[in-house]
Amino acid sequence: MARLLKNNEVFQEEYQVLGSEDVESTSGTVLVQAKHLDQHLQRLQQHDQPIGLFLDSDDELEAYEEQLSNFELIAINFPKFMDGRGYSLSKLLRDRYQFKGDIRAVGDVLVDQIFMMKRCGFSSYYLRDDQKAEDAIKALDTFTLRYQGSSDDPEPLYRKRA
Amino acid sequence: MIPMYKYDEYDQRIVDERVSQFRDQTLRYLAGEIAEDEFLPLRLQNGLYVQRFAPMLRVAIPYGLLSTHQVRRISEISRKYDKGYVHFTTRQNVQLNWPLLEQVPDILADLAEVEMHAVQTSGACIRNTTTDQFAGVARDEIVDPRPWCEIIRQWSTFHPEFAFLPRKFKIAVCGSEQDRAATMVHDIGVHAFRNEKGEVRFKILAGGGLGRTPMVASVIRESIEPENLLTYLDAILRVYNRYGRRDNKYKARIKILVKAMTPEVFSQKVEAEWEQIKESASLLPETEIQRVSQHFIDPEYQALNDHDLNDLALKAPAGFQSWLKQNVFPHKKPGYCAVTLTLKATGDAPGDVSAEQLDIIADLADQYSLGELRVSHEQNLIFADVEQSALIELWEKLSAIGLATANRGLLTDMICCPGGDFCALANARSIPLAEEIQRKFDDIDYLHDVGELDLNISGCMNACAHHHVGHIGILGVDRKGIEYYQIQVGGSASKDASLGKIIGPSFKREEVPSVLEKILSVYIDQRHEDELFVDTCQRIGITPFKERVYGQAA
Ligand code: HEM
Ligand code: SF4
Repeated sequence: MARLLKNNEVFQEEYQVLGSEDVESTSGTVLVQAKHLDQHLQRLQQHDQPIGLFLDSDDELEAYEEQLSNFELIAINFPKFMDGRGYSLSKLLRDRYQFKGDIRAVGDVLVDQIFMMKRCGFSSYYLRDDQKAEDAIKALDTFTLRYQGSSDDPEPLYRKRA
Repeated sequence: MIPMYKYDEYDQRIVDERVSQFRDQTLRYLAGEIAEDEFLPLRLQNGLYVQRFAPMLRVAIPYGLLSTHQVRRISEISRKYDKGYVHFTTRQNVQLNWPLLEQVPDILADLAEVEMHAVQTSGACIRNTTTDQFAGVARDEIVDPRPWCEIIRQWSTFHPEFAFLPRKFKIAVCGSEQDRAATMVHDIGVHAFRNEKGEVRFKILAGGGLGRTPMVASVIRESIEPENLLTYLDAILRVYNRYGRRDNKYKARIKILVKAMTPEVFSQKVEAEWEQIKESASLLPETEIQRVSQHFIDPEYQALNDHDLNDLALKAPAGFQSWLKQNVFPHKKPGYCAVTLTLKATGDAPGDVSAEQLDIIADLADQYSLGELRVSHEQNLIFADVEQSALIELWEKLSAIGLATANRGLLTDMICCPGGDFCALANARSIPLAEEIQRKFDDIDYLHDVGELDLNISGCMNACAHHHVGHIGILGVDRKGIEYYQIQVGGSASKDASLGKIIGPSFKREEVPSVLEKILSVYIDQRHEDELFVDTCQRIGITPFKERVYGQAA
């Protein structure tokens, strides 16, 4: 079980990451590692469970371009919160590949980075176990103004200044 | 009106919200809700880091500009929260050495009231952008770098994609013929110029840096238009964020990536990225360039004539002449000049100033320099708009507070890191060595005869004092627990930057001043007329220095 922050609410959700090993049965949300996508093609055909693509911070997003449209959920892993590659991946998904589905932060997901994740196009977050739900919700609105354009709002402040 | 960027309600709200954010984070940390290693990057990105003895707060002085109002606030803060002195750094920042963690949010709130902050002055993010301390007044200026620095400051502030880069990231901008901002040893160097039609363009360099693996930056793009500057920076940062090494912090700077890929391939990768993002809302509109530039239009200069400065010197008391020669810089407007106050008086740690001195400096800047103060990467302070007719008077007042040392650019105007007295990473102390050198070379006539010479002293290979690009660089090394100093000559931080060469085995501290004397004697013997130390070094190579210092046998 994990706590999922989505649409300003936190609720419990079960999820599972599929890697190189074959798994008989799954429950909850299934996230298939991009590196091992081929192995799980069959499961992707079944529609009884929500299935998402799981990207690691060092995955070369460009290699999976063709597959992206098959998913409504893409999870981006933060192995350590200091690993900032996930921010670029999310922005590329939104801005370059026009991904309209849910982009979810998984791994070392902490309250104090959620605002930046949101700016880069993330729309849901599996909070690390010790993070407080109410702090996380509050963090989504840390700043009311931003200088740069980004995936949440492409217009930089300089296009809005009176 | 001082030519400085003034916050509007948006800028103010952004720094105010930052203070609230950090106050909340500090409280949660003190309540045990944020782990030590998770609080670390949060406090670093607010300028707070812990050194050998105490926390230290590094406050940004964006591209080196301060109003006297801000100077007085810094002085006030140093009395209220600290020990009544501050330290100016080599990157146009100012540091408080003893603040209490609990009080840092209050300090940041006091700073925000005067449009200041400590945002991104530390941590693996885009740092305070630096430039020429003579921006806007230098005669050799082609493009005023200040509006571009401010535009870059706003773009880099809380850039959501680049808050957790592989390593720290420093940008410097130069808009003049001479590079006074050491752009060649920055992660990105931006050279503003004008094309044949007179339009502003930028040459972009990347991959410079010092530390353990010193490197001079490579040209990534010869020319980019103003409207594309920010998207081009975005492209460079994105390539670095995605592909810079994260497995080894000593290999994580962009210079390692540029070298590993080769500058050509790195540049192709950046170009490919930029092609995809250049047509976006992030294009910089002319209206914004105008809006920011408005803040930097010339103050109301009086119509004056240039004085005959030699004539002025003849009428002045002894001592004025050498100060005039060394510390007074020509100004683009007739009758004006820029004056450097070196923070390098013997006995004080380079870059340190007391609160009392700051208050007097603020009064003098109000009286003599239109209410503005600059800081330089050589850790000096500048009055940029002084009327030549007031020079003698100003010099007398500066002399009275010990800030008229006539050594700007000379051997004793050295750049020196905090070293073993304050820094846990040090191999050796640097401040006592700086002092011994200042004591040995206290004859101002000799110093003037030796002429322009950058001496840089770092206490370890992290190279905080940029010893690789000093004309003479000194590096502290540890030999079996004893402090030793390695000496190199021939480095340069100018546009044709070069790294110094080590002359041989290292020395004990007490030996260093006389070794320097030998090095200088080689120069004095061999120099051509008007040739600077660094040019002689580059012409004759290091062998003559080696021979004089270590004996012919070498
Ligand atoms: C006393 C506490 C300090 C510590 C522990 C410290 C630590 C470091 C370290 C580890 C680096 C290397 C980073 C790298 O190569 O990626 C570095 C670089 C640097 N530091 Fe410091 N530093 C201290 C104080 C200062 C001060 C007071 C200044 C300014 C006077 C300064 C200016 C610099 C600069 C300019 C660099 C960049 C050198 C480059 O281009 O690679 N540091 N510092
Ligand atoms: S050069 Fe080394 S000793 Fe000096 S301040 Fe930097 S880390 Fe400390």
